[in-house]
Amino acid sequence: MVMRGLVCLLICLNVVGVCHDVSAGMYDEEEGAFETVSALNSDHRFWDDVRLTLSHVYAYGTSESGAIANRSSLRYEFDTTFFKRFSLRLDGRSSLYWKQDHQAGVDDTNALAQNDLRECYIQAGFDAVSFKAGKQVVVWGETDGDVINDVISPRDEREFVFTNLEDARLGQPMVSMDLYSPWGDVFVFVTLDPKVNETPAPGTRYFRGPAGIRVENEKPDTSDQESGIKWKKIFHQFDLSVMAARLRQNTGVLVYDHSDTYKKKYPSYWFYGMGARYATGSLLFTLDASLKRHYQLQTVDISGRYAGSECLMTDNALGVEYDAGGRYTLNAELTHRHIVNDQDDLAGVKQDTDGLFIQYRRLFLNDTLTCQYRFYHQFQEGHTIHNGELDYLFSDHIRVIMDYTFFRERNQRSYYWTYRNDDRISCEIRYYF
Amino acid sequence: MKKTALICLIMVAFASAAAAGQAREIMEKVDNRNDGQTVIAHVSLTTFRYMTQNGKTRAMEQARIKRMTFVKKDEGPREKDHKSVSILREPKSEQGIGFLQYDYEEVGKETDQWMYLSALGKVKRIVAGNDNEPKTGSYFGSEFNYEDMEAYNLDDFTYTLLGPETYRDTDCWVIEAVPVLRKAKKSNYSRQILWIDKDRDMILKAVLFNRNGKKTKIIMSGNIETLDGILVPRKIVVDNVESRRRTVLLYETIVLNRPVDDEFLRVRTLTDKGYRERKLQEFKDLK
Repeated sequence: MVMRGLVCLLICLNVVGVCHDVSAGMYDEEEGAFETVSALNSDHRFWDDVRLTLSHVYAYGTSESGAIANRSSLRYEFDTTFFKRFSLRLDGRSSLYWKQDHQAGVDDTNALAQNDLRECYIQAGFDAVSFKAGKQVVVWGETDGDVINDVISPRDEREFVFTNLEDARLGQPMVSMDLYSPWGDVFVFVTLDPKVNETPAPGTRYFRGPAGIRVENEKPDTSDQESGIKWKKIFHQFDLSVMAARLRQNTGVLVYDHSDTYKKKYPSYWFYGMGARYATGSLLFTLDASLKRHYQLQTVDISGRYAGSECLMTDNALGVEYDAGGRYTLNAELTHRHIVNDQDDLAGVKQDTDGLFIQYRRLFLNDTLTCQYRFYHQFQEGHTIHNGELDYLFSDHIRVIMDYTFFRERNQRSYYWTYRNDDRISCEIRYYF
Repeated sequence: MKKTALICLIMVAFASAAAAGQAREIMEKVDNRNDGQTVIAHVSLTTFRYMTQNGKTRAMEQARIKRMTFVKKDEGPREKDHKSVSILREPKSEQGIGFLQYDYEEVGKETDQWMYLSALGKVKRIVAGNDNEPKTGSYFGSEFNYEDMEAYNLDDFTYTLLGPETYRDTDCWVIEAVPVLRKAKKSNYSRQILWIDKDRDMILKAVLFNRNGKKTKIIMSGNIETLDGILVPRKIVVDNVESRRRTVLLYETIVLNRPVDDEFLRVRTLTDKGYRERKLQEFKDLK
């Protein structure tokens, strides 16, 4: 009912909002195609700085049948400049999870409301330098298949793998500076109150916490501040970036505290990374390489309790994207993680893990319909995810996205084994205004 | 008889060579016409499918309208290298998407292209494409493809003068341009027929033929105005006669030859809205 009402509303809004008055002459034959151009106002308007997106998502489980998601949201983005050198960016979302939605199911309420502020910062810009202060999202890295260098902003994992990367990154309060010079661009940041990945809450569909134990989240202290630097330069067909940072882990580890209580810790570690892109002909090569020192992985101690083990590891990804003259693009990435420590120190953790990510994308109907297929396979765990997506721009204001994801799990010991029946199909309608 | 035929053949060959030479001269004038070293404009691209009924053309669907800010600068010793940046302002669903392109006159030097995906907050490098196959992707979903938007390189074609003709009450030369082998391998078109305004050295109309020799597009320039002493077509219409779709490119506002520093035509302009808007404020008197 809610869905039907929303669709009607979108159609009504479309009728009102999309009827542009196209200048006379555009529909005429060749001879009449150049009548007087109507006067068009190019003055800056308040609404030019605002974007509102009304959306509704409905997701249905295809293996374990039943509604999974049924939620509406309003995303508000505001991006404006003032006093010549300053600008303000706001990006937030108000969501309503309806009764069938698994997020609302925990409290058994008819509708659960939630507000998220993803970004909110002020920027001061000068010719060669700019400063930002506030809640920001930072994107590092060149590859898309795995988290190699894109380690700064935490992610929203409350919906497991079903949140698009563009929506998944979360902002955190920080102060940052961009410096632009002929020798390359430098980005420096300091985060006083680092955030971590948001994970599924107990009782929600994707929660897989250990049973029978109590988990307390460790609060960050002043030593958990994050800071980092990135240098980037473009050399004709080649882009190169080098990064270093002291970070707090976005993924937590459970550590035994006392009795039946565990603490979820997010230890600090050192990160060193390098990213490169090289374009030649129809091929684009991408590389991400990183070294993570004092990074803690979830292990089990000799008593069988959860523990965190510090390690030195390398995370690498090599990708190649082929563009078939604009007809389609095919992207393949190989990822490799190697843990330098002895295997004995890391019970339950594989020393080498490899993954393959493939993405095929094709546009139809004058670029209004995008078909995309994504595949991820993790070799050691035997874990595979397939995802197909149709994204149709119904008009300049309405977008419909249909998505089907299914899992193929072969290894009962795999972390993902418990998700093997979480295949789902979803439909999202967005109205932009 | 044989001698007469030989003389005729030689005369035809000379006439063809002369026509080709004259056509090349006309095209050089077109190429050398001052079109401004920099362009700063607000552009709209309106695209729709149409049908013709009783001699009238009618749109068959709701037109899709994209509005963007476009900045271009000519560089290099002959000002034949081009740097340009396009930022989408409308529709809202694509607001903030940006495109940065460096074109080089030097044969074999690949175009550099970057695209900023505002939703992802990430700049992606776009490949220039193979030398042996045409790039078919459309420019922001319009009937222009990337080849239509590329800088015109005189040496990419051989020219034949087909004769004079009056087009839209204007005396024109009609010239056929056929891509040389190097260009033909990567072009979507096998030949072009161009209508050149004799007095203003400007292409008023181009009919493009696909690789199978079939007429595929007509590109027309209109609403020609003189801005700062430079002729500018404010409206360019591309009519895809195969798909019956039309795109109207309109320079809603445009200024020429304002100083644009090199720093503006860099990746920062795609990602840093504050910087971009501040620099664009300097051209506030767009007319």
